[in-house]
Amino acid sequence: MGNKQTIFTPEQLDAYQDCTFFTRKEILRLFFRYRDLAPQLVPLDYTSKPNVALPYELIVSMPELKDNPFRQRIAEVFSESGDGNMTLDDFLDMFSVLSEMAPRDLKAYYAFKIYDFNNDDYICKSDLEKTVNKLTRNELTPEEVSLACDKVIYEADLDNDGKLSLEDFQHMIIRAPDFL
Amino acid sequence: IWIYHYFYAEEKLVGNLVSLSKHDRIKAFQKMPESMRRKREIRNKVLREITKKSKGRGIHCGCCTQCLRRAKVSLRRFRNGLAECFHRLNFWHKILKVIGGEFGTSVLSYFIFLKWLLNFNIFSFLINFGFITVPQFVAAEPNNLSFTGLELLTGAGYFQQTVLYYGFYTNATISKTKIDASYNMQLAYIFTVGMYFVICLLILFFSIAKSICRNFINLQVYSGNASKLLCTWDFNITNEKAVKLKQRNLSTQIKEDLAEENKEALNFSLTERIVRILIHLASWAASLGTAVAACAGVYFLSVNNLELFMKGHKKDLESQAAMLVLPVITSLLNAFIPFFYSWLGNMEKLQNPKSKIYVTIARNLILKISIIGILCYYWLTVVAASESQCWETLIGQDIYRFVLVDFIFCLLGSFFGEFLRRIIGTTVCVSLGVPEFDIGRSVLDLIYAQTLTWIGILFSPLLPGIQMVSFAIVFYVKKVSLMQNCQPPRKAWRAAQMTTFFMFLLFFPSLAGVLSVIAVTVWR
Repeated sequence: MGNKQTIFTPEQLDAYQDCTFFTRKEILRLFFRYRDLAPQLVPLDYTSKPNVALPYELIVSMPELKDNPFRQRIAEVFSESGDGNMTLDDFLDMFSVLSEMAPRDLKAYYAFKIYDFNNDDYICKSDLEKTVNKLTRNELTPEEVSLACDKVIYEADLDNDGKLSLEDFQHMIIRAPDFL
Repeated sequence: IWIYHYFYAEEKLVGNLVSLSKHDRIKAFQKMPESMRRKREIRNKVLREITKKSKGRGIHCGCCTQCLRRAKVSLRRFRNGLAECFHRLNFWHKILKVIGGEFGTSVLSYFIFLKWLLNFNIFSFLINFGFITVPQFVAAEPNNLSFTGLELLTGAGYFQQTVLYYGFYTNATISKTKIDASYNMQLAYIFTVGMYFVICLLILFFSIAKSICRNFINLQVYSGNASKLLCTWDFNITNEKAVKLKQRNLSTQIKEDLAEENKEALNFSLTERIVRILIHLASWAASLGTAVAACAGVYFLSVNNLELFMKGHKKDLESQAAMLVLPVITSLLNAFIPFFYSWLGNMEKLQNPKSKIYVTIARNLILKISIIGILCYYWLTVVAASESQCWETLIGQDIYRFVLVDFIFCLLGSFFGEFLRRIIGTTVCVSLGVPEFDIGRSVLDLIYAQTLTWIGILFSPLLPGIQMVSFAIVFYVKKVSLMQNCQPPRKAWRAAQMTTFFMFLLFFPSLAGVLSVIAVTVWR
C-alpha cells in the first residue's frame, strides 16, 4: 500500500491511527467528509497543520447528527473550544468515540459529559430535566418530568448527594446491557 | 499546587505508557478519554522517552535490534493490511447500518442473526464441498435418468443419482493409480460432518457464554427507571420519523410507569382470580392441543406419503408432485397456527406485556419442536425400516423438499403478511395501520430452517449450499419488504437479551436435537 496521499504527513497519519479506532482508509474518508461540509474553508494540505474550525451549524447538518436530539450537546462536548465549532481533530475524535469499535466505558464517559448540561461534572436534577425533555420532545407535563427525575436520582445516586457523579453513572451503565 | 499535581499526574501517565508493549500502548491511547490534541502531546512525549531509552541502551546491539525493529514494523504493516482485507469481506455492512438507522437496534438484531446463520452455512458448504464432493467427482458414475423441471421442486428423479444425496457417494476408497495416495471416502464423510458439528458447537457455546457475560451477569435487580431514561436512547437512529416515534414511545412509557406507581395494585376478588386462572389453563390446553393435533396430522400424512412413494412408479410425475403435499401442509401449519396463538394471547389479557411476548414465543417453540420431533421419529423409524434400497436418500429428498417449501412459504409470508397488509392498512381499512416487523416469529422461522438444514447435512451434503442461497434471497426480500412496508416497532424490545435468548435456542433444542438424530442414524 503506497503512501500516495499528500494530505497528511506519515507521522500525522500514524498519530491519528494510534489515537483513534480508525484505519488509514477510514481516516482519509472522514477527512473528505469533513471537507465536503465546507470545501472552501478546508484546505487539501494538512501537513502544515492549519487551524481550521468548521462552524457548529455545518456540523449538525450532517445526516448522522441532523435528527439526534442531543446534537447540540454532542458538538459542544467534542469541540475543543466548547462552543460547537470543530476542528478536524475534534471531528475525528467525535466519530471515533461514537463508532462501534469504542469500548463501553469510553462511551459512558462521554455520555455523562453530554448529559451534563451545565458542565459541572455532576448530573443534577436540572440536567436530568433537560435530558428528559429532549428525549420526549416536550410531551410530558412538568410535574411528570420532575417525578421521573426524582425517581432516577433516587435509584442511581449512590453517595446520596442529590446528584449523579461519574461513578454513579458508570455504575448504572454496567448494569444496562442495551446501552449503545 | 493544582498545576503541580497536574504535571505530576502526567509524568506518571507517561511513565506508565512507556513501560507497556507497543500493542498495549496503542490500545491505551485509543481508550483515553481526552481530546485529540492532548493525546497527541502525550503520545509525542512517550515516543521521545522511548527513543531516549533505546538510544541509551547502547550501540553494540545495533544490528539485531535494527533487524528486529524492521521485522516488527513490517509485521505491523502486514497485520493492518490483513485487517483492511477482512473489513472488505464484511459484506452487507452498509445495508445493516441503513436498517439500524431507520428502524433501530431491535430489528437490526434479526438481520444480524440471519447473517450469522448464513456464515454457518457458508462454512459448512465450503467444508463439505471441498472434502466430500470434489473427491466424489473423480469417481463419479454416469447419470442415466432424464431431467424434467419438476425435479427442482421434488428433489427426486434425476437428482437421485447426483452428488446431492448420500446414496450416491461411493462406499469405497478412491485411489488414483498414478499416485499412491488413497482417499477413504467413508472416513472422510463421517469425519467432515463430525468436525463441522464440533466446530459449530464450540462457536455457539463461546458466543452464548460471551453474550451472557456481557448482558446478564450484572443485571440489576431493580429494573431501573434510571437506566430506562438514560440508557435506552438508541444513538443509531438517523431517520427523523424513527426519532419522533422513539421519543413518543419513551414519553408513553414514562407516563405509564408514573401512572402505575400512583395506581394501587389491583386486588381481584377470589372468583375473578379463579376465572383468570381457568382462562390461562384453557388457553394453554388449547395451544398444546393444537400442537398435538398438528403432529398427529403430520405423522399420518407422512406415513401415507411413504406408502405412496413405495407403491407408485417413481417416474410418474403425478406421484412425485403428490410427494410435495407433506411439506406444504407442514409449512401451512407452521404459518397459520402462530396466528391462532397470538389471538389466544390477546384474549388472555395478561397483566404484563412482556410476558405476553414470552408466552407466545414459548408456544410457537413447542409447536415447532414437536413437529420436527415427529418428523425425525418418522424418518428414523418408519423410513429406515422400509424396503427401499437407500433409505438415506429418501430422507435427503424429504428434507430437500421441506427446505424448499419452507423457503417459498417464507417469501409468500413476507408478501402477504407485509405487502398486502400495508395496502389493506393504508387504503381499505385505515385503522389497522402499517404493519410492524414481527421479530420473534421471524427469528423462530430462521431457527426452524437452520435446524432442518443441520438434520439434513448427513443425508445431503450440499444442502447448506442451497440454504445459503435461500438465506441470501430471504435477506434481500425481507430488507426490501421492511423498507417499503413496515414501521419501527412500538414496544420496547430488549435487543441484547433477546439475541442471547435466540442464540441459546439455536444451541439447545436445535443443535442438541440434531446431534442426537445424527447419533441415532450413525448407530443404525
